[in-house]
Amino acid sequence: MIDSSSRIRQSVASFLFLAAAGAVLAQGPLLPPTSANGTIGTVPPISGSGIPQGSMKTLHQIEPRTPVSAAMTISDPGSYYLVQNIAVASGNGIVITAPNVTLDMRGFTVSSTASPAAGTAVLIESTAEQVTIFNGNIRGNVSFSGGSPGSYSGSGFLHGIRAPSLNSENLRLEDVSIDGCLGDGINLEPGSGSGFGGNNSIVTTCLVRNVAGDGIRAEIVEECVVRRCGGNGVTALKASHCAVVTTGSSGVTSEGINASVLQSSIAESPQRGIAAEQAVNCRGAGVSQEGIVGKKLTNCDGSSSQGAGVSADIAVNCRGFSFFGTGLSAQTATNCMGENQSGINGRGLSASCAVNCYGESLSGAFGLTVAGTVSFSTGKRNGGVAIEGGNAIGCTVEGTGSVSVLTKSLGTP
Amino acid sequence: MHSTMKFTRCLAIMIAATAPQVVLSQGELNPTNAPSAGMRTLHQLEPRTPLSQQTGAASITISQSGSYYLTEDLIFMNNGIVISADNVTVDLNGFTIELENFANTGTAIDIQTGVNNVTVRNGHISKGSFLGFSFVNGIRADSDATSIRVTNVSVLSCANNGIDLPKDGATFVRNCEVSTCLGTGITAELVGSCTVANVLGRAIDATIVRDCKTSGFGGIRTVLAAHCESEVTGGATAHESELAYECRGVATNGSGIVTKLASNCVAESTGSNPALTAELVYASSGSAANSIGIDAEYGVHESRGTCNGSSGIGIKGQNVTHCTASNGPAGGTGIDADKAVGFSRGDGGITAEIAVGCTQPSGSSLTVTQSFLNFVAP
Repeated sequence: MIDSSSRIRQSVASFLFLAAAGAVLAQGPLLPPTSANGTIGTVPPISGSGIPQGSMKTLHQIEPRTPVSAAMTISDPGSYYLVQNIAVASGNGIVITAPNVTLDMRGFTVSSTASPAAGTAVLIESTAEQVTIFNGNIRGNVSFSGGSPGSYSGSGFLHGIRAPSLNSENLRLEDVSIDGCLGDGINLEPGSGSGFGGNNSIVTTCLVRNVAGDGIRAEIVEECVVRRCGGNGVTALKASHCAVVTTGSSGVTSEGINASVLQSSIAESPQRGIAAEQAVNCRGAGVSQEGIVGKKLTNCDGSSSQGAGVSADIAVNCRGFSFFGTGLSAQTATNCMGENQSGINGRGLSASCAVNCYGESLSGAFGLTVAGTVSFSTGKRNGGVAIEGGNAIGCTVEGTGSVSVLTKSLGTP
Repeated sequence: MHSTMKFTRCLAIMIAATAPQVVLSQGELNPTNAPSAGMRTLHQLEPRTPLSQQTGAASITISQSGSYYLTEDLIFMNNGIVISADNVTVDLNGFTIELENFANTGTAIDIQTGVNNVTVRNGHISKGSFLGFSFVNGIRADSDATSIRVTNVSVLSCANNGIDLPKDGATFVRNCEVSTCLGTGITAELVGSCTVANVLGRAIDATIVRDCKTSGFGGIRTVLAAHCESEVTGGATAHESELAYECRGVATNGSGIVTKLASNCVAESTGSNPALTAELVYASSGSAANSIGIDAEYGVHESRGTCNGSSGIGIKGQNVTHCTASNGPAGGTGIDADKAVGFSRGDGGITAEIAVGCTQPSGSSLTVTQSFLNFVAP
């Protein structure tokens, strides 16, 4: 390798030469090759004539995988790769009917101009299983044209990547960007809502934008972004490090994230922000329903206009805000705070048992409502009832509210 | 084998090789037929478009969708690779993009306005190894560019930002290292498994940051952070977020962690700012030199706050339960609660409206309006 001083000298020399006369660029144009260069179709493996020996390699040995240069059906198991962008005017892009298929998109794009939008960019049929797809783009021209619920229109694919059958097990998708579909972005699990078929599917590091249907449906979804999604943003059994914004779309459910186990994710939706059995370090914002709802929520933040900001069986170190509903609602609340703006039933924080909590209502019903025992907690409702409920131990009031409980002790006013 | 036999064989091979009609095992260089089954064109072997050094170190503009790769290190005198088309993948292929100029200038990889679906991966962006001047920005995308992914790229030395992508455009940076930048290290929507060092501005500015490590003059700013380590030299805050989980922030003069919800976090400040500031603090530790260990607007639970200075506070909050706190050798307060303290120990004293079931070591004061079931050592 030449050192940099000689490289800069070469650069300067080349520059002077270029100024004097037209240069011949060795690498040719930057434009990608036209179809004449690469439309050879699938190539079966060499049967082995026995000629190359020793340290020699055939071209087949250098790239043993099967090139794909046009829309096609992959009906044989094997390892495939795109050799150029693939554009279709109708129908599907790649259809996989064989099991044990790997498709490396090699940074290329599968696109459609079908109008009205139709077909699937990569369709995994019921006879296919053990399929891996990675490293590429899927494009249509469907775009979000605003409104609430959102309105989507344009040409392109109906779906991005889809496995509609329960038979397609062991599916993996990585580093794929999908933009502009009138249906779902990535849907590897048949069924609807959180009812999964159990396809053992993983989606990691995918970016999905401008899809009128669901963003991503898979058993595990990690490090994905979904934006401008009409349906459910991410539906998974386990999801982590995802960022989702759904717009809603007429007549469909548009939940931000629905996962059994969820970590460090953020979602906004015109309906419910996040629904999880267990969520840690998440933030959900909803409008007509909860910001975040779950059985066990730790270090989570939820906000909503109509629904509860946070709703949980167990909430630990959580914060909830609701304009008209309850800021934070839980069976057991530990070290939580909830705020409510207004509404005749609006409560800052409502729980069966609460420890070390704070509930505030600006002009709603109560600051802090606890059916069972509330300890070491503070309520605030100026001019109203700050703490309401059963047994209050070591509790306090901020502002001018009163305490209305059945029993109180250890300093509770 | 006998040496005479070996010599004879060698001689035979040499004679054969000099004969005019030798069959070379690799065959003809020119294709004999149209490609057919069993054959590969070179295009099929590497279907992507190569990017190589331009005359005069001129920039390269990618204006067509496709997949591109570097075939060598690229040296530029100003901008490097300019991406003006949608659906572009650039594989740096392990090579380096370098600036050689007599001033800091240009952007190594520039993703232009309105462009979407771009991936950049697998290589390095560096200052000039000869002249030592740097790109202004390493990888930069216009504010309306969307769906951009940068993975496995290292950036060394920038006059402004290392990797700068719009935070609301589905952008993603993973497994990247950025060091020695005068602006921000990494800006993106999701940032994971990255390290940033020696950056004058913010180390990372994102929506979600996970498993990152930063050091330098600026810290992490994000909505969510998990499993992050940030150390700051100077007056900046090491970690700013809305939600922090299993994070550590260490600052010499600024705050260690400033967040809304902190769980399982560790914060340290050796200056005069609080170590950990939040609305709610759970299972966390804050250690300050001259200020407040943990400073919470509402509850503090199952946590520990310490201050080594003479007038600081271990834990400050509204309600404090199941905590321990201490304040240095003299003065200050262990726990200073607006409302109640329960089942806690405050070395250096407890101040609250209500204290229940607390322990005070000898010499510590219990300054409470109502005291129940407390133990003060004689």
